[in-house]
Amino acid sequence: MNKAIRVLVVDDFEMMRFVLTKALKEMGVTNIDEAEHGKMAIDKLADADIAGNPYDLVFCDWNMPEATGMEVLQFCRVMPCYSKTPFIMVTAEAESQNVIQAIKTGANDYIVKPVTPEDLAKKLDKIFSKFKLLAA
Amino acid sequence: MTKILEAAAVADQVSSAVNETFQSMFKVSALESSRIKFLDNKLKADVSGIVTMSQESAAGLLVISFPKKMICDLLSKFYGKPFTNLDSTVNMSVGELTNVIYGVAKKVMNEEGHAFGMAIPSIIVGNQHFVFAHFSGEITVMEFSTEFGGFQVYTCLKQRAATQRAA
Repeated sequence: MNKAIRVLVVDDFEMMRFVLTKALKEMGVTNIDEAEHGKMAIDKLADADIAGNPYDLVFCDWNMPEATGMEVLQFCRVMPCYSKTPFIMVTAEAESQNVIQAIKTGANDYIVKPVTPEDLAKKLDKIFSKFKLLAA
Repeated sequence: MTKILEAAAVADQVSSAVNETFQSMFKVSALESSRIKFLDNKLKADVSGIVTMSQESAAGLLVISFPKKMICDLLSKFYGKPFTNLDSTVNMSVGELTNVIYGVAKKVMNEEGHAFGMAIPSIIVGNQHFVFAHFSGEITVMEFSTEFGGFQVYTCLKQRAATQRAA
């Protein structure tokens, strides 16, 4: 496991940030930042880029105040350093049209709430394998 | 025009969504034990999550109400640390629960063509708070039981007048 990967978890609800960060920590990821809304996420993404240490993986809710998950996604995809960064939408908006919209906008995967800890662990494992975020 | 959904059908979908969400997130069963028309004015619980259910032809509310001890005990188990008061973590968790439950119910209802819109939940704190002061339609209250105690879920949906149809 590449513990040095940097992860950003974005959700306006602490409960979901807790579930995700707990699951990530159980996978050995320790470098995790949180954002409580879309604008905070955009600021953190931009600051990390300026500091030369961009995030390697983003988990983001859809329905948030200040800026939505889609706006955060769009921001990432126009930034050269984040254009290919794995971006996972984590949301209660589960209808197929929402999933399609997220994928067309550039999301790499989609996690639907509610998710059991076991299913979340499997999903994270798949994402880490797919994007080669494990140790070389 | 979206399909019209009866109040009982909304309550059924919400009831299923409540148990599914509790099972997934907390590994706790939340089973509906009663369902009646709500004729009172004030909610008896201490904290409620509220979300607007809105479609072209109808609008209403979904309200999930918890007594303080029950929600604190449930979230103490979830977070692995004790909660004894309705602090921001507890209150926001109520909001998220409401958000997730609505999402689960909405997905099923929308797959049937009812086109309910997205909504951000609100939270009201305080014993015997008012929620339905401006709603004139029928309100259903469902009582749920869990190993941590009971809580209530309210649903209401009223057809819009022709002049009020959403765009």
